[in-house]
Amino acid sequence: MKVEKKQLRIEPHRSRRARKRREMRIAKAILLITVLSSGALAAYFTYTILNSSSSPSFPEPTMQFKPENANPKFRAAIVDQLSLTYPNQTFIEAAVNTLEQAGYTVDYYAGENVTVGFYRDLPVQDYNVIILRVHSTCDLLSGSSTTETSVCLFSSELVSSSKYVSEQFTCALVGVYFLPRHEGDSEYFGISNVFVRDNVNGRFNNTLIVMMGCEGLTNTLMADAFLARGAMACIGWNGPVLQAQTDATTTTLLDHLFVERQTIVSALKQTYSELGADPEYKSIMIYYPESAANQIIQSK
Amino acid sequence: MLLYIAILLALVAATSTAYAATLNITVKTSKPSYQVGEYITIQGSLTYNGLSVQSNTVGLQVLDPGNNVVVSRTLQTNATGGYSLTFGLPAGARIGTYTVQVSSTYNGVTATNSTSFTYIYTAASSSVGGIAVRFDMLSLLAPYIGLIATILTATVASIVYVKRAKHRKEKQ
Repeated sequence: MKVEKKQLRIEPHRSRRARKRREMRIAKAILLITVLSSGALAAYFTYTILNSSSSPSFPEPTMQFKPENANPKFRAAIVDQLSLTYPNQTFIEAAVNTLEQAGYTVDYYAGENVTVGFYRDLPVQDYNVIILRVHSTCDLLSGSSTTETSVCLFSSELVSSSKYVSEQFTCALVGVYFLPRHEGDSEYFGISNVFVRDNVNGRFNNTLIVMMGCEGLTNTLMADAFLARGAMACIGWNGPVLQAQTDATTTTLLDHLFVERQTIVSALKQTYSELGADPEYKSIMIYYPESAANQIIQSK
Repeated sequence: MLLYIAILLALVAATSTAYAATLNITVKTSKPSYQVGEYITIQGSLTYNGLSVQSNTVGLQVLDPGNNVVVSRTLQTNATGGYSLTFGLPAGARIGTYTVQVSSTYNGVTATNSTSFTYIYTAASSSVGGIAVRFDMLSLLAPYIGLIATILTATVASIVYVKRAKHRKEKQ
């Protein structure tokens, strides 16, 4: 009778210990899985962050125009992101012709080349003149209203949450849309002044930058970033502009700057007297900084 | 008496109309409005006493909304007295109402006329702008929040496991 009672007391104790052992084994397994999976996740995200900012090598120009008497020191780039929405062969031919007359070798980059990586490595390409035929905006959508921000230059690279993560965090990159915006429209990466200031490689070579898109010089945040990176001067619109107007104005301006060798201020004044302000938005092309007014752009 | 004067005046007017040399020039545009970049066609005719005048010069001017002359041409009338001009406004041309003025002189008589058209902007001549939006930081952070939560869970689970193991050893 005594033995039976003892066995009854031992039995629950043994089963409790066995249950505890089983629980410990399960806990160990869960712990191991959790530690391994968090290690794998950490490795994946570290890899993503480290690789998100790296870009493929700088693209070859879509076309290169080299005049017979080209001065090897004179190099110009036409960055034609607008070719995706508003191609204008007449403008390209006229701009190239003018620059060639001035002894420049012209590299033409079509819209599909204009990625975030392209902007990142643009300064190190050593251009004296960069013509950004690029959509741009300084209207930042917040809720249902817009606020003014630094001008953002459009890229032709679609937004991805796993790309350029650190630049997205720091607002060096923003999302941009073409207007009018429709439901389901693609969102592209836009380059802000923070990107030009902090994320591009190298420095510009005393470069003249012509921003043909809307609102390039509505405020000077982007121009200041270009200047801080070694640009000599920026020319751009003080408001929105129509595609036809910016093409016509830039064509005429380049002629006054490079063929007639006028100063920046005089070339802009003459262009305005010939073509006037934008017919729709009344905006005009201006320059920055003030000290660049009497600069004459080098040509042969 | 009054009736007599009225009849007399009417007769005088009719006689002078019949005998005065009348040079008439008409002008019209092919459409009342044109979109930016579209070609504009202006046409009209010249008649003298109702008969068409051929090979005569017609002066044509187009004034922009600010009354600046943007087009100035000298045209010739054709065999039927008609004339026409097709042209494009420059890329920087202003939006608004344009006035077309024509004039011609024949046998010492000058005739003038005018018409107008509107130059309009449509989606076909869009701006090269856009709109910027900030990225949704929460959705951008979501995977990282998940990662931190997993690491924290793993850490807490490890601590609990180690403590329990220690406690068990102490008991034994």
